[in-house]
Amino acid sequence: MLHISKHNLLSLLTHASSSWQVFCPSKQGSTVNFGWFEGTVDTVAIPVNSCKGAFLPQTEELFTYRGTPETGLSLTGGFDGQKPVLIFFARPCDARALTLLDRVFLEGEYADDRYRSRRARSVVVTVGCKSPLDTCFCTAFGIGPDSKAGSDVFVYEDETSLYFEPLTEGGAGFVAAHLAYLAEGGTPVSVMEELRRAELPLAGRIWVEGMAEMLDSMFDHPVWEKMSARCRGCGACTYLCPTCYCFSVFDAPRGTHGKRYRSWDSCQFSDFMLMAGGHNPRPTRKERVRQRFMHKFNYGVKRQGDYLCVGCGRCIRACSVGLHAASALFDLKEAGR
Amino acid sequence: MNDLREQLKEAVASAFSQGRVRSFVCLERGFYPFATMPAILHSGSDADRVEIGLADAPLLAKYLLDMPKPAGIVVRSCDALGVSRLIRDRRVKREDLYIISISCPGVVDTAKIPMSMHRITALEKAGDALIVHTALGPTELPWSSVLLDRCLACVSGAASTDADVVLDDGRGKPPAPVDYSEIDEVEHMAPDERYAMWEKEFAKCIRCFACRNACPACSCRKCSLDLPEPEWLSRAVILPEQFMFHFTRAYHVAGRCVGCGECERACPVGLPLMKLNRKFTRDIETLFGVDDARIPRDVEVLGTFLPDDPEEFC
Ligand code: SF4
Ligand code: SF4
Ligand code: SF4
Ligand code: SF4
Ligand code: SF4
Repeated sequence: MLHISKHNLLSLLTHASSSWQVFCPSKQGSTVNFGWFEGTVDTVAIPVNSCKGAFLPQTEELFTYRGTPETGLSLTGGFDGQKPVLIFFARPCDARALTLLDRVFLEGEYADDRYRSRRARSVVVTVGCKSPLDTCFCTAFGIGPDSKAGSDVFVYEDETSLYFEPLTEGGAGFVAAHLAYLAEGGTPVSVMEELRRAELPLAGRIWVEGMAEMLDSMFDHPVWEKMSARCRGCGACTYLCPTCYCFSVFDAPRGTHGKRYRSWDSCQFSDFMLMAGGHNPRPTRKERVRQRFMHKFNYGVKRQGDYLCVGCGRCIRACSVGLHAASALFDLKEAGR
Repeated sequence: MNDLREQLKEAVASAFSQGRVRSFVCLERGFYPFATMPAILHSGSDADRVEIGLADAPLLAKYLLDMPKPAGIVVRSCDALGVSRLIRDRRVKREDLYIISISCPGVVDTAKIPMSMHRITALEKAGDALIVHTALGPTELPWSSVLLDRCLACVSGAASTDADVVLDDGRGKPPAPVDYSEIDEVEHMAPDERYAMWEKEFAKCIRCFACRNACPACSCRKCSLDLPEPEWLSRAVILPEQFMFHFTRAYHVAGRCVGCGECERACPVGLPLMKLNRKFTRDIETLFGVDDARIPRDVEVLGTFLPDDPEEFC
């Protein structure tokens, strides 16, 4: 298998960044976050955020407008083909989550131009998780530390080296373009074995089978009231979740010109569903928390054919009051049986 | 410790049975073995769920806003400051509250325990150590190395006296010495360097509002930053808006921040918000000669206008 010594990784990435926009984890203050490559990379920690921002940026300008009734309206800006995106070190849950976002933004009646264009030429390099966190429960969703769904290249990591296994044509192209940095030989058999055997204690407490059907009849269940009582109504859980995709479009007017933006939005915000005239169909935290988990564990299954959760545990780490996918699955099961 | 918990359960149950409260906010066992989470109780029969909160205890004051009154709350001293804040900001009335204060030896931050939570079978405080029991045997960690950041700056672990019931087992954490060295460090940076640091931090902020929503001093019914009209802050997460948000938040709590650190604890991406809050707190202490500006008082230096003020109003 082609491999690279960890010492040389930075030179590979620096080289890659001349033809790719590299999105990778790096140390930012007290946490490790995914972001655009700026000369450093952290290959050990599982970042607090997901890599969805590479394809669905938190904020992007759609266009600038300018005009008066006399001059008429002119639009400038818009999307030009940028360098292709390279995700360097997604985790198996991240890669799988991208396939779920694809169903939302690429399939069905409306495909999103920008998402499609960023995603079309992207290469997702995924590293197997040798040290899953206390908060990881991807195996509850049929994923695991060595799952390859959604990845173009899979990487096995041992003490000194990273072994590259190309899985798709795009992945093979990426590897071929960096042969100068890679050496041939060796198969990390023991790492492969270790990944296969990895156990996630949290997944043992989670039950997913049949959850969607069970929730069909739980819309009015009192459990939502109980679960949501502690929610602080922030957007931490949804913003950091790799499968949450809600956004809103708004203008920032400045006299005779302005910009139109698209930004992430969160169903946990009180004004998410607020309508002109003041009506709010989800007036309290109960409705909002219910929406979040119904979307993940019921509506998603109906609309996108799968749970919209990959068990990455990011919401567990994000929520300051312990209201997350794992606690919800646990409480819902208790309530529904 | 257990003793205190038994007394607390009893006190909560009797608050309900005496008709003193319609709801009660306290801590209960969380999803992870030793973490605790907020619980809002509606009947005395739920009092069994009450936990003291040895580890990962969120602060509760802010929940009072939405609870049916009269409302009960269990507070340790940092949370008591938050409750006092809400009362002085006229967001809740003291007579609508039933406060049980408890003494507090400090709260463990499980993120600071260097072993898997799933392997831990018990946590125990023994003197100045935390004993972490696992199947492989116990490990001893210095108590101060595993505490939440807020406890390292604790006003006092003794139970607050402005309460309807005071439960103090005498094991409260002694007040932490005031230490502004972290603020000194920032103040001594060259302006460009300091600007670059904050720019980097603010760029990380995902504007989830967890900090605001957790804060007992951020208690406006409708936050100006949420208003669609006029739109003070757009949803665009771009640098000028990040500065707008962070300055608004920090200035709005200046003079009212109780230093509880819940904003920083709630931040999912680790912004050092206490560096801003504590800078203001210290400035108020030095500029106005206030002793410990975290403690809410009847005359607030930034909330009072004196007709004979030597300075112009604006
Ligand atoms: S569940 Fe937690 S992270 Fe999500 S909105 Fe509620 S308090 Fe915030
Ligand atoms: S709901 Fe939580 S665990 Fe599931 S994918 Fe989202 S962040 Fe990860
Ligand atoms: S700050 Fe003090 S009172 Fe508050 S949790 Fe820490 S030790 Fe207890
Ligand atoms: S909690 Fe952190 S990320 Fe969220 S808005 Fe506050 S500073 Fe930003
Ligand atoms: S700003 Fe932070 S430290 Fe100050 S009162 Fe609010 S949550 Fe507590």
